[in-house]
Amino acid sequence: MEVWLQQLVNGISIGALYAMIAVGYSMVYGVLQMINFAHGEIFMLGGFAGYLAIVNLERTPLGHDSRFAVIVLALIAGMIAAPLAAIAIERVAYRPLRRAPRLAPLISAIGVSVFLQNLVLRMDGGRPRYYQDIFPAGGPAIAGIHITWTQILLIGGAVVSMLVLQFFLHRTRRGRGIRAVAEDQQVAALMGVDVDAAIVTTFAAGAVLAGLAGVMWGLQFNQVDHFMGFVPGIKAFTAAVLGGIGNVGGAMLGGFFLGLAETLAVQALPRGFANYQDVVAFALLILVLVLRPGGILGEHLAKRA
Amino acid sequence: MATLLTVRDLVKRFQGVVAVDRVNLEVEERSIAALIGPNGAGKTTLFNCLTGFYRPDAGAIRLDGRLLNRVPPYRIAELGVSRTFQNIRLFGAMTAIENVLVGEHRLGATGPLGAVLRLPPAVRDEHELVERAREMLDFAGLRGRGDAIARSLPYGDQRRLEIARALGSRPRLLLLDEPTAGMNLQESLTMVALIRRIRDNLGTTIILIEHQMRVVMGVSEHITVLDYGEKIAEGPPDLVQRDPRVIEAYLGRGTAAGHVAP
Amino acid sequence: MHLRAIASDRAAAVSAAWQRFGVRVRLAVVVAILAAMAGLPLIFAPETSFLGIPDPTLVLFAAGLYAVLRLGLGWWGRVLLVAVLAYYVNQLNSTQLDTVFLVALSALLGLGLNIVVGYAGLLDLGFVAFFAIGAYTWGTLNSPFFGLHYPYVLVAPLAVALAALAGVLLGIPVLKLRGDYLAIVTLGFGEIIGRLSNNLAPLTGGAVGIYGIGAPAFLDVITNRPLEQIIYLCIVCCVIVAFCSGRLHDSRTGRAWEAIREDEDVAAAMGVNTVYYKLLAFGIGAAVGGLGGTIFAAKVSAISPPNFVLDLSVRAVSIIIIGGMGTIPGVIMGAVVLVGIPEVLRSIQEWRLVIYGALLVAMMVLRPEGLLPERRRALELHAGLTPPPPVTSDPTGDG
Repeated sequence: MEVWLQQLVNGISIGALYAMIAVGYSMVYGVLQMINFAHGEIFMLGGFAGYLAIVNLERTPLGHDSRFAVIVLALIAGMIAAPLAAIAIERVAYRPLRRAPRLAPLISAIGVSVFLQNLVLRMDGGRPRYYQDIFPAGGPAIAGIHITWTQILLIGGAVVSMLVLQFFLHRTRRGRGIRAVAEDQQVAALMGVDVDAAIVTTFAAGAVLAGLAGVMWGLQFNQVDHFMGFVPGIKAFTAAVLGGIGNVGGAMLGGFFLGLAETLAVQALPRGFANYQDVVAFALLILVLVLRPGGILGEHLAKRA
Repeated sequence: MATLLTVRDLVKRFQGVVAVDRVNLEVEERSIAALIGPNGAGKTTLFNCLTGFYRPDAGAIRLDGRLLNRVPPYRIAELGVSRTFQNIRLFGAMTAIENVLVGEHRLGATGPLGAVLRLPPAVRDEHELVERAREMLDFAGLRGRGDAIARSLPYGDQRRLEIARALGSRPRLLLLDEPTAGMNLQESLTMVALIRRIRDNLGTTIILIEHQMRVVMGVSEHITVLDYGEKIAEGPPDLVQRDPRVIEAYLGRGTAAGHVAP
Repeated sequence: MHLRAIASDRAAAVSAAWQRFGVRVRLAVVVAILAAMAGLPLIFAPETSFLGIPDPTLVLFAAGLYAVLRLGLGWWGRVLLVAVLAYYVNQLNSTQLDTVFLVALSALLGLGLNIVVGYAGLLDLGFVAFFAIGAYTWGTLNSPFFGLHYPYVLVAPLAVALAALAGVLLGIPVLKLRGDYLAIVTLGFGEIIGRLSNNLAPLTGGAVGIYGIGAPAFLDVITNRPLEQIIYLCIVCCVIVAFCSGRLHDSRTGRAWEAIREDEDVAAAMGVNTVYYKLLAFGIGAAVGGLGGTIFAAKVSAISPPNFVLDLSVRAVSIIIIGGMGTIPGVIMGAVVLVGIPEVLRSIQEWRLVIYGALLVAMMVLRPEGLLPERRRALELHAGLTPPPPVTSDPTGDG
């Protein structure tokens, strides 16, 4: 029983990461009806930004004294680098293709993804980069279940950032603009919403969360590498679809659900299937897309004029 | 005249909205029937049910006695029902003749193996299809335009091409969804002439959705009027146009006057 | 789009210029170029470096290929081209042969995928799975692994059939999916198969893979260099697939695919059995992938899971897109450019994928129809049309 509860905690914490990445997929799909294949790489870039921040800060006096400051700055680095990349990508690779047939932005997105993965690979040498145990190891034990400080950060960070995002989407003008564009681009434009700006903001917002997730991934697993965005990206996309693509709340829940599902499923399967987490996730993806593409909570798709 | 199509108590719902509400309809063979009603009355939805795009929630659709309810769209086309679309949906990047050739798909017998081997029967098959396609283009008033890219054709020609394509399969029943939309009087009259020719020369039964009352009253022999998914009137043109419920449905909805005038 | 307008205007102007030359002139030019291509090995001794390009013959051959494909080859032209190619291959040294093999194999895979993506418009990113099936079939049936040594002429059809079956099975659940979703799901399938090849050790040799795979024996008659033999086999397969492809394209089947690609719902309304044609496309594309797999396994003689990564699917798709979606000359050119040039220009080989990625984006933005497009596809893509609304866009019906 304890093992199961432990895995529950593990599942939720990995689910938190998936949730943060999934939100980005959902938002972009809601607004542009395209799958941002490169979103996983934005997550990866966030992770690297965090790594660079840590490595460079370690040498400074600030870095020596306050681990806390280093961590915070690393998180901020991730939250800045990722949206910058996302904005650039949108401008160069997606915006010119807004009126092209559906295949074009899809291929372009794949191109961006391949480009980024391999660019980082080339510039970085392919060896994973280590996050040097920045975070205090270990953590409290509640009722015999261990939860590490990093996991607390993950879950807490995810919940907080998603609350902030929901606030942004529902209580601010910019956020409402995004939701309007997601509902009906033409009408939103007629109502005076700057559609381009809304789209850019959407990308940026999703990227902030993804970048944050990237740094947190580095803190949790202690390493980042050029390929780290691929599998989590697909899983996060699965989560987004599970929750109903375009539905931000759904993406969040989908993320947690997927994290739980894959962790608990592996726990349930016999020993030899230890490496089957990914297969579970992919299989779930296929099942959802084939059987219930609307997701569990229902889609929020724009009307296509 | 035998009845070709019967629709009994057809119901189609979308998440709480009843788009088609227990509609009954009978269309005689070789007749030209019209389906009219204000916007949102359920006419195109009915067409979509007839062609298999929507599965009816209740009721029965029979073509020559054969139940069409769960038949997939391509099978319904094979059974002899063809259509055009409200917003023209040609294969834009294909040429005019290629569009018609696709329309003739069910008449062809060459499969992939035949395509690769190109034995005499397959070659003959293809020639015949091309011949027929040219004839159909002629018939529809597009003589010599076979190699034009569909998207590049002027609006009226595109509508005609869509009809030529629909006729490619030599359908028994042709459903025309607003064939004169966007046309002026002159073009509409040409279209009407074409519609008559289709029935007279090819023996095709026609149901058309139309908003231009002049066209409707002029060419159809039987009119069914829908409003909010229900049939509110039917009969020959002169009867329907005097029916108070019909007038109310149109005028009451604020559509431009003059549309109901004979 | 400003840039795009300029690019397409210039392309149109160049085409117009060419049209003005009479048929005879173009014929003569084509023959001249083919002759020059055949003569390349005589002009440049192998392994000479020219202007810093390590392998000038390959690059010049590629240029010549582009020129003749652009000008258009008739029946005879293609026969001549294959003859020139065969002669040329005969003259190359082993490193050059390696490059040519990769190009030829990529072209073969591209031609297969072209039927799925280019003709039927189904974005299949799991192509690598069929390649793997083909490779492992040949690998298990002609190597020390199980101690079996069945001849190629028996195993190849089996591999092709298995791959085709897999293609159809993959196609069935995804029939209702369009565009992006289809891409992701097929990608998922590809990944699953990739991981399974790692985990099904008794059948596939697990992480270690299979080694000692033999080569088809019947090729010994033609020449005695094994790599050359395989390349000839590959070229012959390319020719066969290209031939069948072309015939399929200009037929009732090809039209059905194009209709599905343009507007699936309307195609169905016109009597096209979309299920059948989509599965047909998946099956044929997969079959070619499987065929390519057997050739690959024969050449490298040792296969293992790292050979079958998503990369391959991406590369195959890039070839089609950048070469010219839906056209056979386009696919060939795509293979030459994307696979051949980086091999030849060794210094950029490590940046190959970075360039692929950037090229994909650039191509989509500037010239989405590719290097050698179907004239009509160029129209399709430059008109900037939004896709047609689905039949269900107006549930209550507008009338």
